[in-house]
Amino acid sequence: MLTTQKHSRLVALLPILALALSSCQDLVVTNPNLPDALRATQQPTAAETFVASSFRTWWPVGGHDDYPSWAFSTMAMEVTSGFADFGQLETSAIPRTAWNNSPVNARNQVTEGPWYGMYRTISSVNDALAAIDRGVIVVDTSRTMRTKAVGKFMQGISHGYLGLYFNQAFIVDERARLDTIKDPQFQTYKELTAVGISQLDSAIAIANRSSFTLPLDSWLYTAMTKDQFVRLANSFAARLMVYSARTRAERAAVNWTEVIRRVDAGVTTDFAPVAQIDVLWDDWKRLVARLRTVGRPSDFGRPAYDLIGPADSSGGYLNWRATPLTSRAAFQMKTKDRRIQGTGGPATPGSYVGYNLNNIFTASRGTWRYSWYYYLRNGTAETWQNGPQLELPVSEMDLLKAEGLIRLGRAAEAVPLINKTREANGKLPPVTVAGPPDEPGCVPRKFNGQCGSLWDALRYEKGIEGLGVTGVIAFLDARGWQTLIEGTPIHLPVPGRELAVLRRPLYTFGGGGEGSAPVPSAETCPIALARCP
Amino acid sequence: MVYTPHDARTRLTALARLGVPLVATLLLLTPITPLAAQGTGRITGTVTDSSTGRVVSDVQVTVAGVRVGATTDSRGRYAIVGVPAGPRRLEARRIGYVPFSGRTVDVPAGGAITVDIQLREVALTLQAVVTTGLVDPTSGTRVPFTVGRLEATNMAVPATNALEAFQGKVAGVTVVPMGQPGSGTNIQLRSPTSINKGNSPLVVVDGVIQSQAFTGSSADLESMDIESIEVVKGAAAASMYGSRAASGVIQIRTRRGTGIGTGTTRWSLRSEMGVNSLGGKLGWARKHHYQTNANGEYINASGVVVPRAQRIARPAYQRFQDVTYADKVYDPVEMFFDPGQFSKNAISIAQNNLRTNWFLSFVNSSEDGVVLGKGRFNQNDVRFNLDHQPLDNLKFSFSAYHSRSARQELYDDTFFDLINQAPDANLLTPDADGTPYIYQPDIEGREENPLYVLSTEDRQRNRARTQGSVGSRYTPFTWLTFDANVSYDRSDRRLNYFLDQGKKTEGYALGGLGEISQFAGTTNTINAEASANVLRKFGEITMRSTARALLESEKNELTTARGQDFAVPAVRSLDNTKTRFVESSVEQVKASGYFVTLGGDYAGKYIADGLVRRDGSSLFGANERWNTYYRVSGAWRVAQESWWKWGSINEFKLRASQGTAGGRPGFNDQYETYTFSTAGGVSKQNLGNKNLRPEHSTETELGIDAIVKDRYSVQLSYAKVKTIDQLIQIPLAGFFGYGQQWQNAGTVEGNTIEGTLEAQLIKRPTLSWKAGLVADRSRNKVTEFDRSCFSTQVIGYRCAGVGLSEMYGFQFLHDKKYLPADAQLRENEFVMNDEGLLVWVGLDASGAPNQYTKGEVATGGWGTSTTIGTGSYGWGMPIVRKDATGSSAVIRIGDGTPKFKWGITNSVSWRNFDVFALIDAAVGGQVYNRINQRMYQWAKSRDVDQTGKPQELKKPIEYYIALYAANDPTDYFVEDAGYVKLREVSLKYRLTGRMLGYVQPFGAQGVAISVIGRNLYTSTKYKGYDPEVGTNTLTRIDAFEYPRYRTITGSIDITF
Repeated sequence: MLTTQKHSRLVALLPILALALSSCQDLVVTNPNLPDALRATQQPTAAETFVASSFRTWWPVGGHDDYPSWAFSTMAMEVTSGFADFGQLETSAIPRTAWNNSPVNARNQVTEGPWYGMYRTISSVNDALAAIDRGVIVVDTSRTMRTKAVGKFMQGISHGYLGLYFNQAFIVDERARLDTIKDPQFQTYKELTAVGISQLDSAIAIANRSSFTLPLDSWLYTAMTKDQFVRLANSFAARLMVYSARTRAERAAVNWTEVIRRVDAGVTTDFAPVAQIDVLWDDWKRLVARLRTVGRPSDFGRPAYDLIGPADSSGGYLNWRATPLTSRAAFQMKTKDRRIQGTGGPATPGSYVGYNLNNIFTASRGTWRYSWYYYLRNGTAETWQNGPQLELPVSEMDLLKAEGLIRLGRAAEAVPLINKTREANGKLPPVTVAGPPDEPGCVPRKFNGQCGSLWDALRYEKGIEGLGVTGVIAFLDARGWQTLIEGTPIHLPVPGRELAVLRRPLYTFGGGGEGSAPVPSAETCPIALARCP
Repeated sequence: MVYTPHDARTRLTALARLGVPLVATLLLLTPITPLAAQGTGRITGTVTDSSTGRVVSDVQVTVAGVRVGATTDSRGRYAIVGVPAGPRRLEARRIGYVPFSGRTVDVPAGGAITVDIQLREVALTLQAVVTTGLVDPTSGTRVPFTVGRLEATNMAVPATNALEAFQGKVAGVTVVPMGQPGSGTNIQLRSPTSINKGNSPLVVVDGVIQSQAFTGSSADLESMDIESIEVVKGAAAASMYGSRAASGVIQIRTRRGTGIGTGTTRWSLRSEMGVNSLGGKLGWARKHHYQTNANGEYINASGVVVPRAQRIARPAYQRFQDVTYADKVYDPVEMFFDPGQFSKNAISIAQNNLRTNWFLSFVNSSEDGVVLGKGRFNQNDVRFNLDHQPLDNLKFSFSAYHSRSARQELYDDTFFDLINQAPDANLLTPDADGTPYIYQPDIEGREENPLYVLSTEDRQRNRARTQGSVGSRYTPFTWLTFDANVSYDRSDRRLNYFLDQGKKTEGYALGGLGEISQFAGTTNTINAEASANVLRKFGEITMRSTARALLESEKNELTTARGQDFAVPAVRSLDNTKTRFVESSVEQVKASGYFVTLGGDYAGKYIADGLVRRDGSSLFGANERWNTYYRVSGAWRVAQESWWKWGSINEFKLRASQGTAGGRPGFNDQYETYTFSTAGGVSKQNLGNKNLRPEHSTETELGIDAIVKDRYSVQLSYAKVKTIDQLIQIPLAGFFGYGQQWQNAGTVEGNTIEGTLEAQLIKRPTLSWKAGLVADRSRNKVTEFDRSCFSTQVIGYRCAGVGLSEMYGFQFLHDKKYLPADAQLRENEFVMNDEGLLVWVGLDASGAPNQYTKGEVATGGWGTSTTIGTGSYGWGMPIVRKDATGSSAVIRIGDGTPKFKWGITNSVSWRNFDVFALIDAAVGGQVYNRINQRMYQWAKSRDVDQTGKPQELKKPIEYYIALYAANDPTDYFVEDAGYVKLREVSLKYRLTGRMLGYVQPFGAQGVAISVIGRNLYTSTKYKGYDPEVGTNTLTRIDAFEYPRYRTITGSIDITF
């Protein structure tokens, strides 16, 4: 019995002793799933990884995901939509209203998406560039220089796009010490643009001192040589220079000579990163081109009559414009532009746009939103997540150069640049300095029904060729050409959430208040041309 | 050396680490005085019910101080052998009876003595013995705080999930059951304590602390074998459980072999079968707005008759949903929902020997749910409980549970797709690709037929849960006990998805590429605790003290592999895919804790209790690894005072308790993290926080307990809780690159008033009637929040002064005073319509205001509009309220918290019939009806149907689409979700006499047959399927979840 009692005491004692011993357990647990800053940056190759993956955080907010693409493309009347998703409805309301910049606005991703997306990109790149500045060598000099060049490139297009989208933002490079920043100061969009271009020039300078290539499956998702990289940087610089203009006056004041120089030094082939499932994809194109049911395509957004209407020779577009807003309804166009209408007649699809007698939007949101046309240029199903996704086409650069040439009084030199896509893709007769041939069915037409000018042809061409490429360029053009609807915000305010975090007062733009687009006067040519004003 | 507060914490921690085991060890090593070796005798007797005179089986009869005993058999008899001779006192306990303590009798050495015992049934739950929140079992009348308790007798209708058994039976408990069988249950005790983290209580089953690391942890809990459930509702009682008990604790005990007579073996069989069926329905528009001729045929704009596929809508603002379909009209709800089978079968065996008893059970549950052909849930459970007492003062307990379940999953948009089907579409038409249901029967192609998707997708969830605990209790002295317990909880979860190549999906209307995914999740949890308990009496003073140490370790591993684009169809292998992805994560949690309690009472009248606990956890930031909790409680049993004059009030207790408890951060919260994306991308995510602390709740509870004539009891409690250090994900300025950081910010305060009435109305040998009423009212509010306000879950808004269940969104104008200033100058152009909404109607030719009833197109109204300032106003259309900036104003539009809740239970036994019924209600409280809102988008809601309306009151679908408001939250879809529900009904008949005689030859001792109903009837104004909605207790938003349904079954119980 006593022996049993001893065993009993032992049995009871064991767990207590075990607990006493294990009470010294170390409560420190390392997160094994995700690295912290130390683990993420301790290897030199990590710096390369940061830069090599930074384009993936820029890409969605650079015009290839829902924010701010849908808001911008509908505000620009490039795409029309009766849907409310992604801020489409409130930003395209007529009359235009001020952007609701409250942090609790259900559509606040319109501002927060690009703001935080760009800074996430910049921040990762800054960590890598700071490490290189501290003397970290990414395996060898060539890879180090590649990391540095692409890093500066990413800084440049991120700061530059912040300048395109917002009226002000922070400039944060690898020299910034975030833990010492007590009272951060916003910089104006002009300063952001200048810094962005300067960082692109740094990328160019570094690349020109180096020798490297970029692979297809990471970095910029396009295989390119160092020289092609330099060309791409110049093209982006041209974009920033032109598109940062908020008004017609600012657009006119752009250093067009420098723009032409950049374009000439820019891309010679389309920059079209290759999409990969779950890595890099174009969700904006996916929704623009969404096919839900056979025979009922594109139920999300459609090409707006304001974009394709100038190609109409039926009179329908002129009638539509002359009809009060609340009485407008969809109509069928007739056009020679084979990007809109096939050779089989008005109901046959063109190469960019198809026709479908189907209304997908609700009348209470305005029948003026109706469009019987749908977008088909980039396919309808899985094509948005496989293969090249157009981001910066040569045609865009050509037309920027053409605009510069016209503005500089060298319109004749602009003509062949406009005709390149006009003839090849639109199957339209070439324009001359006088504009398109003055004939029935001329494309484009003015609002009075007469054949358009060379300036009109340039803007039409840029619109139809840019349709569905990115969700933001049409808006950036429209504000500089003064074609936005009156009261449209000409840029975004710093997100309400960011202002709240920084304890700064809330502000906004649009709706007729500060930062609103003036009444459009779309037919004004920059210089004297035939068929102008 | 510089002394810092951190040093103080370290010293306390070190003291705690060393002190508790040291005290326990010293106590253990105290010389043991063996129980006196002397002659023994025998005590026998019969136990009967004091009021009915019936014998009582399964009563544990023990001899005080020497721990020998026996359990009564089916004839109420017991026999205790080996009783040390001399004066001895008998004690007897049985669930449902007041603990018995008898007079002292002399046990003769080598002889026997007969002692018959009469037990008094615990008529009232308040008198029952409780253990949760305490270190040893205590009568409810002596506990200084509220412990809710349910016993098997309160569960005449077995819940489909153990945690649902509380519904309507315990005050202060809010249960949000998930609709689909096998989903688990969300439960909230009193008012919520956390803004961001879960408000679910800690659940302990047979000593096994249930892991909360994964969704639906409670889904594996079978309800058939439950013996009792206890609940402590807040920090005032739950401090013993430290940093994870801010939301309270639920303790479940299952049956053991101790519940039957010594030396007996009992078999039980139970089989229940029946049907599930949908209770509430949705209202659908049965008319359309397309252009038709006089024959009802579709025509085009030229008046030419066209087929359905070419039909066109009437012109805008002439689309009154009042045209009868020429084709057959269906009810999508009728087609989609289909009654399913329900069955629950259980077999158990229990044996009780002198030193060893055990209980073994097997339960099979199966439910089809209510969706046609999909959603079946099947679960098998095995439970084994064993107790062994090798010595009089040493006892071991072992509990094991294993559960396996399989469920067909529904895809996320199932119920969303359903409400987008057109009423003239037959969902049951076969598809041309061979699928039994057509992919897109609606020619407008809004959404796919959910039956097609469910037929083509294969989503299978499999779960296994293995739990076990081993405990020991050693009592070297009558005043000293050592306890130790080790528990293990393992969960295995699998989710396999397969969609074959060629099946139509959104975006692939001609057939997709094929997709497969496999998810595997495993959670392993080990908890261990050991304690030393001291119980001593000093005259009229009884003192209790416990020192306990606890350890916790949990590991959570998740892996997902998926692939797309099959090389060949019909091969269910990841190898068959051209594109593949994998994801994985591992989480580990380690924690330690120590506490010391000291409590006592004087003459059973003055009761005091105190507790201090120190908790350390790897979930806390590196600088805040240890936190301290406490409890102080007291009670005064006034009725025990000599001066108490009101003899019929035999119990009157005043009690007060204040305690603290915590709410832990999530695994990732303290860490600085970068995220990986596919193909090696890295980007910043969270900024780490080494100072992250657990949320800290302090609850104060005041209450009164009273018992009248041992037949009526009342418990009234008021609890006030304040939770500081809320865990909030704070957004950071953009330039940090990190999007956010978890910080301790904000305070939530709440209070609850709750009451429980219980009455043993009739207690006779052939008739008894017991009734209960519970009611509670809870309120909560964020009282301090020094950060940017933010919105959550669409309608939630987190800001100082805002309640956690309040809804925020846009508001349609009901009053001219909210018109913008420029519109107010023309306020005579606005009138209220028949729905109470302010609309613009303009002025008629005479300059007088128009009437909203003149909106017909013929009279000019619908479709016209005016612009006032920057605002556009459509004729007769609802107007959204604006704020000072001209933006749509975000304001409070509702509150999901009911004004109060109540539940009434009635148990009646008459001869061989037992009837049980539970009716419960939520009075007030609103739900955001997102389903109806979405049904406005495409004019599917019954509200849009203009049938029967006078022509002048008809509204075009554009009016309703404007109310849909692009799916933004608006006040229009906030509905009163109050309800009264007949939740449980059971009618049982126990066979006797000749009928029982038919089965007795087969060994059956008792047979009962029952008819059972669950969720039988709901009275509510709510327009959705059922007002009990939401995926948690705070956000009452009806957003396409599996609806609640009713179940009607019959059962048979046989005991051998």
